[in-house]
Amino acid sequence: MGKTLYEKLWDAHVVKELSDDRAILFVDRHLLHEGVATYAFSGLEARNRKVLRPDLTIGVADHVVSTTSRAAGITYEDDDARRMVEDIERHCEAAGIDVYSVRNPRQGIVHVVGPELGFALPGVLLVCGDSHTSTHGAFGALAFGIGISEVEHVLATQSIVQKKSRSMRVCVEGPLPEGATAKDLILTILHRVGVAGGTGHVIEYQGEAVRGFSMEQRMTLCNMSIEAGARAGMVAPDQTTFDYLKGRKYAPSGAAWGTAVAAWEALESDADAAFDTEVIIPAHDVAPYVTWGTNPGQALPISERVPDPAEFTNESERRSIADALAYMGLTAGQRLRDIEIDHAFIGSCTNGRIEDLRAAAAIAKGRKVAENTTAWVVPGSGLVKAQAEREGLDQIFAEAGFEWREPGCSMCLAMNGDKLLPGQRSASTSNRNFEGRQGRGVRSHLMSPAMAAAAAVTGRLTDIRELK
Amino acid sequence: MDPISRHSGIAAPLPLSDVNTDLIYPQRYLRKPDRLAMAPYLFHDLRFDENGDPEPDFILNREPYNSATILIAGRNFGSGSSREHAPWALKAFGFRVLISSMFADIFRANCVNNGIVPAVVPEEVAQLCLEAASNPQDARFGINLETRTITHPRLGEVGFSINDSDRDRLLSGSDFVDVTLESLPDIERYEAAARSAAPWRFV
Repeated sequence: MGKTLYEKLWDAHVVKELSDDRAILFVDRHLLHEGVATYAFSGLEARNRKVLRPDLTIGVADHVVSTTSRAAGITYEDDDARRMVEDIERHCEAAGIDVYSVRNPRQGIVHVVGPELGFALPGVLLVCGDSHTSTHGAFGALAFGIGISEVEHVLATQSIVQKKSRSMRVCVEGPLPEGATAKDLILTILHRVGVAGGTGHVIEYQGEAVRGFSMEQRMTLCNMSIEAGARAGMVAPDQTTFDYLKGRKYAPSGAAWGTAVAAWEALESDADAAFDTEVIIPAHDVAPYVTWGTNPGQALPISERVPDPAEFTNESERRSIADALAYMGLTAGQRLRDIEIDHAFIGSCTNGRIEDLRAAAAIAKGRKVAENTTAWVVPGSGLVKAQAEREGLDQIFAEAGFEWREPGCSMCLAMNGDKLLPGQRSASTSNRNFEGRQGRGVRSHLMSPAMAAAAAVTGRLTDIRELK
Repeated sequence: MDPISRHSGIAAPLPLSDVNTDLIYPQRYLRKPDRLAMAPYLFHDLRFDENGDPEPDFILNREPYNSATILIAGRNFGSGSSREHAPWALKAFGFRVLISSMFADIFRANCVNNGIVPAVVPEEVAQLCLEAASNPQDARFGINLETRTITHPRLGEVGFSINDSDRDRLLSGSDFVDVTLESLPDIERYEAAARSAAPWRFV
């Protein structure tokens, strides 16, 4: 019987089999951000350990970095934030690790910067102390998030001990309908499988819609695999992948490029490979989606109404819906498109790439942000920001009344000073609508960049198709 | 890492499913440098109101659960962010054992790396444990990691599951990095072979 792509990647990285279905796997690429570096390096120092392979790690500052204007210098939320940025710079420089911190023009979100540098490649095993590391699976890499103890382990040993996961195939049949994006597809999948539906699995996304996706869209899709509880998400590499990577800083060049592409072309699941779990998504079921609740699986098409807990027979489901509605300040049966917002946030490792900003700008163009609504655009990296400015997107946003900010994680997780006030409601392109995610008591609705821009200009959750 | 084999203590019931690490440890405290001093932030927004006063109804604010060392949680505990601050804060509060019908993958690994036992039980057993623990007189549970059993005066002895490897590491308290460093020659051999077979994998 054939092998899945995941099995091929697993087998190719086994240094040593251990008991209990575990193995020591070689780590080809390690991304480090300042939110974990402080702790991991202090752990190494306390035990007098060295970084084994500094050339296979890069450092990026993103989580605590302020996204307010840096024209007059960088400001921090507090001294702890400043110290974390200084720590990653100091430790990386001492260890010989390339670091893209706040003064580097490429600085941005680790999952945006890594791909821009060609650091994530097909066939590699890539880890980072951040759950959204699943993003890099878009390149046909085995990419997953790890804890801080594991970051320390990778720094000291260039390997990771893992237990083999089960495999899941999510096959999207047919092309996506008009107005639907990769974000809507992943919200559809999360609605279908639930936030624990992928636990213990690595997901491979297949099908016509996925094949037709750009790298940006594939990254959006893989990014939120963790929201289904999956260890990783991946898409087999193809010409789209190779075209994206060619010429990037850490990608192979010269004769090595041809050798690499020849190896990458073989990276796909065999036709007779068996997956432990199969999910089929008819693409015509995908529509512009928004979340109404407090986890990303609590999502529905924008044309629907807020669910009524009374209509559910399962006690725990009824309770979780009722709790979510109470936190979100919503009424059962209310139309999603009547929900008014205070703030729109366009950015994050899910949707802070150039295509995302183009999609939002297309809606913002010639319109104005609604009264009593604020709207932020936070580019995912310095390169995204520069590219958007070359294309005049910043001007379109400025004329429409959106605030154009510096790169960083920003209001995706509100640990950098960017946050809302209790009770405020946000239309957000990020990946988590958990309680308190964008500030204590803040109510977050997840959606695509075009949908968030539409919400910004109407002041309520809006069906993008109404604005066409 | 401090080893653990048997443990007895007060079990706090938290019958919520899909409790994510943002709820266990809110992100605005992620910059706190001292992992041993993170107990005040554990479940912060459930434990304290907006003025910082304890919520009287929250389980960890009530006797005897304010001295709990075992947490009985709903399904899919520890989902979301990979933040290790969640198990650090649980440990700092005093928790050594967590019982649930399902833990999120990264969170489970983080627990083991910090000497916390993630004990998995079937959903119906989790419900029985939650019910038993909700009576303060019945809140004392015993755990035996060697035999993978939970003991309770009313429930008797019930089994839980945990990987052999996770169990062995918790029992021995051995250092994760030191154990792998014993395989350093294997790692070096692997790399030499991979470098000639697939040079593009190396920067």
